[in-house]
Amino acid sequence: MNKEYTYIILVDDDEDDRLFFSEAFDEIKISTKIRTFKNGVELMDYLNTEESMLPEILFLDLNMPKKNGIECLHEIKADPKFSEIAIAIYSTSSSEEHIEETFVSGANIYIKKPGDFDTLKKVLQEVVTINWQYQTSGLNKENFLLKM
Amino acid sequence: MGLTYKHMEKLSDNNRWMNHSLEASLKIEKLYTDLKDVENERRNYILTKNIESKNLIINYKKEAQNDIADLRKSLADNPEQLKKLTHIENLVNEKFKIVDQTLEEKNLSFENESVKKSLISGRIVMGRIGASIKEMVRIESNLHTQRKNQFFFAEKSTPIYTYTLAIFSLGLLGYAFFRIYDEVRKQQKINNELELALKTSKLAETIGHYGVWIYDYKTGKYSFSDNQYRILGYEPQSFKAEKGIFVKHAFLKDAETVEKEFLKKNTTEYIAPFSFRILRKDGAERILQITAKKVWTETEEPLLLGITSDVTEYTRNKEKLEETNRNLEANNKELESFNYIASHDLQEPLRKIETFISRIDAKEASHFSDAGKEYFRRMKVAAKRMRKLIDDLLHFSRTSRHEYVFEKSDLNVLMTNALEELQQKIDEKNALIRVEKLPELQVIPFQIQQVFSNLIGNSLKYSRENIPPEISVSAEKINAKNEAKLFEKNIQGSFYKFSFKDNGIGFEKEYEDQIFNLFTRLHGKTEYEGTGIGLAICKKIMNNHNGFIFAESEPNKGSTFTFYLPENH
Repeated sequence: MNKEYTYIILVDDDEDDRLFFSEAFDEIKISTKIRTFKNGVELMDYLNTEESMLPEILFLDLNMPKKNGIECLHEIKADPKFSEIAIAIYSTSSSEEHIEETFVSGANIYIKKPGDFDTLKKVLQEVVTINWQYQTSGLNKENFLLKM
Repeated sequence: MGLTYKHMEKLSDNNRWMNHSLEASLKIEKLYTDLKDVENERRNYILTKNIESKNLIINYKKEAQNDIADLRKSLADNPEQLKKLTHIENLVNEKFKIVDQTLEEKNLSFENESVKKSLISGRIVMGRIGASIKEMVRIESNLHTQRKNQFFFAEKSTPIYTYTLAIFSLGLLGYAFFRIYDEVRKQQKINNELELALKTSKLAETIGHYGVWIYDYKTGKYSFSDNQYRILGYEPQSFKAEKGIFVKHAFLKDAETVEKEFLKKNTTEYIAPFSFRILRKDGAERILQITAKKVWTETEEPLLLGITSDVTEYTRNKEKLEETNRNLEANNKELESFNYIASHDLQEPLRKIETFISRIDAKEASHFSDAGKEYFRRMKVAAKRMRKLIDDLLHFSRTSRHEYVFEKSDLNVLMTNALEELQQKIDEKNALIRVEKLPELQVIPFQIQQVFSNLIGNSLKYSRENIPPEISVSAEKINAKNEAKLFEKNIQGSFYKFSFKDNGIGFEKEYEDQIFNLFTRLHGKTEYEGTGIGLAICKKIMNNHNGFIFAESEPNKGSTFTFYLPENH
């Protein structure tokens, strides 16, 4: 199947963050399709529905009600049918524990939510333009946390 | 002793008798000699008719008569010899008659017939006297020999007899004495030791709050030490000892445990310590711990030796400590959750504010009125300050963690890193920084670098207007006893002393301690930016290193921050 856009999903319980995320992609000159979910349960329901289209990149917030980001990460990594999805952790926290745990659990990149809209745009653009196949093979702990 | 005395008496008697017979013999011999002298002198007289010879004869006669009288005394106890002496005396008298005839003779010549006759009869009498004297001497000699033999036997047997007896008696006496003395001494020693051991043991029980009990497997009977009774609230030995008393006093829910544990004595040789609560006779609530072990007496009889300790104080202290620990743990958890709140929950709304500010800045700010622009600028400053506060606070709480490792580090390298971090500010302020050679020490490297960075950063920040900051850093090895500030705190050992001296605005002496407290700021936020966390972090890092930090300052002259790190971590 041949698409002209990158399909991106964001799971975040924070309405403001979902707004910033969508607005940032509106301003980025890349063809994307954005879909957002409010929590892990909604996301997993969607992904596990037969006819659902799977995203190229999934942005996962960690601290969410009902089902948090780590739980989603484990479920996705446990199912081979999701093996093509690149997972970007998208969190306010930059604690060593969270970085370590998500890296070990198989996330592809860790993004600390920036406090500046311009920075946010730059970060998202960077992540979307990464050649994920290449990134995955060269993955290591040093470049796991995205530094801007 | 009586035996020996008698023997000695006999001995001395024997000796006396022996000497006596010897003396008698000598006297007899003398008599014979004197008589011979009389006879010889008579011949001289006949030949010479010398008056001198006549006188000598008279003397010898007297001598001989004295001898006889003397002998008579000596032989008074020997009738046989006395008889012989009388016979000799008669012969002597006969002889003296012949001698007297010669002395009165007018015609003294060997040719004279009567003289010839008297010489012959004199010789005959002398011969008879000689024979008798010989006989007497022989008898005396026999007597002497007999007595001598008696004496020698006695004398010879005396040392052996005496010594043997003496040694034997002495030995016996000595041995008996020694044995008795030794026994008494041993007994006394044992008694003393026993008494002491008993006293000590009783004292130990009282001091140590424990009592001892014994169960005799053979008789099935218990016995309690005095303190065992007291522990249960009774007068010593006031009732017959038995295990039921423990059960009786135990709390209802513990009584079964006590029964069960005591039953173990029939199956195991050791009853591990178990605790139970009791209500003492006087109503006091106590906690006892019992442990027991099977032991064997010298006669191979099995006993169960038990110890009951009153562990009430110990248990209560332990419980208190455990509660304190639980509280402490809860506090720590609370602090951790505070850390999480600071790192996540507080940051999130702030990040949104920041992001919205950046959105407005990009799209809307140009449409604001001048007042709106000013409010908006101030809002940005406030948000920025909050960002710094949250970041510093997070930093502070992370500093308290003890899980970081100590590494041998070259402090010169850490200083270079710190100065690189601050390079921009150093350049801006045109600061002059002198750093002496620093040692290598066992530290948490990034924390010490943080201290360097905070102290130099402070000196740059609190510099005087229009005066370029001058900062000098020195390090020296010292002994705590020579440093007043360490000595005051009763600290000992070898330390490295680091001094950071600047020429900045300084501060009043009264704040020297206070500035290390969290959120302590001595200056308005608008004059000098700062959150009041930097020095609190330094102090925490010093605590982590068992080090100490002090400040000394004078307004408008400058400040000196001194910290000490132990030479050996």
